[in-house]
Amino acid sequence: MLRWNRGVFRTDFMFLLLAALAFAVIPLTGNYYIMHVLILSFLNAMLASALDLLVGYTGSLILGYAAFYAIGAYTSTLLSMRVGLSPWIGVFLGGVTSTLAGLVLGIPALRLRGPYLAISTLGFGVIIYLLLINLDFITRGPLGIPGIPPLPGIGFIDFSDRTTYYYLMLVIFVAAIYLLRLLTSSRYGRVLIAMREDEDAAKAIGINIPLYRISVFAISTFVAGIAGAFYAHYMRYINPEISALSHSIAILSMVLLGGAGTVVGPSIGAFILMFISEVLRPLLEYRLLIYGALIVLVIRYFPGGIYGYLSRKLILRKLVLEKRIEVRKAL
Amino acid sequence: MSREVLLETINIWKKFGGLVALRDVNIKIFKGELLGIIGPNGSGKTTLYNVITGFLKPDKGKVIFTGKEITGMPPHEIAKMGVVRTFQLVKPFMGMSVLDNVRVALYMRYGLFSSVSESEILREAREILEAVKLLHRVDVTADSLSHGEKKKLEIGRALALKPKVLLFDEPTGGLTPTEMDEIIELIKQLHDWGMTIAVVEHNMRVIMNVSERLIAMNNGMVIAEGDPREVVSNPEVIKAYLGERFAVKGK
Repeated sequence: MLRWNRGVFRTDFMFLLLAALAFAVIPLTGNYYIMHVLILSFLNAMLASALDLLVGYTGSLILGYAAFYAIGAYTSTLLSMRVGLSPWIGVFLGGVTSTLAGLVLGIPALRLRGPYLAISTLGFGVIIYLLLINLDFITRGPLGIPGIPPLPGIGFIDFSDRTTYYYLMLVIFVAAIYLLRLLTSSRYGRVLIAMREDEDAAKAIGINIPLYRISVFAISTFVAGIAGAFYAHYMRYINPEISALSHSIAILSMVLLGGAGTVVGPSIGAFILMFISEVLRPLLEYRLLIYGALIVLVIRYFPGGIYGYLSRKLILRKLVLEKRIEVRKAL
Repeated sequence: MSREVLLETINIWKKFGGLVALRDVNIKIFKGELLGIIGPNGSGKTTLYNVITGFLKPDKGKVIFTGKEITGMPPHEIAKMGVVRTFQLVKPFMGMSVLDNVRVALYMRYGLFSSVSESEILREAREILEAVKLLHRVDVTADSLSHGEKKKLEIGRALALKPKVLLFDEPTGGLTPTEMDEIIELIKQLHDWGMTIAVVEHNMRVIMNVSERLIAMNNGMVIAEGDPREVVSNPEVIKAYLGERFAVKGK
């Protein structure tokens, strides 16, 4: 069974709960623009935290990650528009298809390490992007697909309403982060960390490294696919740009900025970068310059990212003491 | 000796390009014994360990463990069967706490989804850390341990797998004399508990102190085998360590 270590987990959980409460009051302002930006932030935060499973917990640099988001989005869109499936089933199948694509890429590519893995995932991202553009009889190419049906309502709840969708995304976001955090503090998560710390030693204590790498890749790409599907049914229009390299880089930046290997940190990174990119909207593509500069600064001065820094400096000091007492009691 | 053979290598060959690292190596590890393996640098001791534990595949030959062939099996499966090694250059999980280092090995032994409770795991981790005298360091990360403590942690992590045979690769390399004595004590204690142990060592004091039987290797071959005192006075062994000139004076 999955078991976890209560110490650090409890702070992360409290933090998530407080954030959820704060987000829950935002619709009271009635500001649709802010809600829109936050919905996109929730989706990107899920993406970033799911990517963190790979970047932070297995130490693999993955460059074409937005491809999985796009695969989820296109799968759910096409299934609901061409096949007529309920978008709810589409969302689930979007996750499944993304996982399958993840296995197709992962089974050969996860034998690679470091820059080789990064380049092969980059290649995969470019291939997906080109397929979406060139398979125009299915995807309508660069024109994109408009008129995607919204998620059907349940009872009296109508998800085509922005406020309602906002709450749905908030719940999905909190649930996703909670589950990912639970996973990383479970026995499974400890095994991942051990692998990251030393592969030879991990093999020597009986860890089947390929199995764990593939399984975590499957979990991560499933979350990315679901996030993409929710995006499609929210925007009701998608085009291949969501799988573009610039999006992959943005997600990776969120992970590094927020703090790789913390799950919660990359979500924070997502909110910060989404906020910055809204503020800097008039600068158009020059925003990427600022992203770049920000990441260089963070990596130079706060290698653990924002959350890594905060938890080390402020929270952990007290917590480490508590945990030590706890551990000593447990022993 | 009609003791039960636990692990055996049969005609193992391993080449790296033009270099023959192991040539026709046959060794036996008997159940419950404490075997020493010596040999100058590059004589193939660590390569032999790598072949036994699946980190390297031999070009020819077989590794037999409890009557079953394990040649070419992946390291994690061999480790799960109970053939557990330590590393010459310590490899603890640096960013993890001492407790978690041992705990993760316990998870692997019981299986990730076993019903063994966390308190059970902690109790066992405590016993292990007590045995390797690291209990006072449970809550620090492995990278803040001293070199000697890291060596102990690695032994603890290996013990967590409840090995049937424990292969030490220079367990006292780079240690102070005091730390060395502690490790010697620990190895002897494990042996007293009935564990089957093989120790690769450079340090003569350590090897003469612990081993019941000794194998000497040179140039990828076993050059002498038997009672430790006889092996170290064997002219071949002296020649391998000190060169031709000293061989005559040897005995």
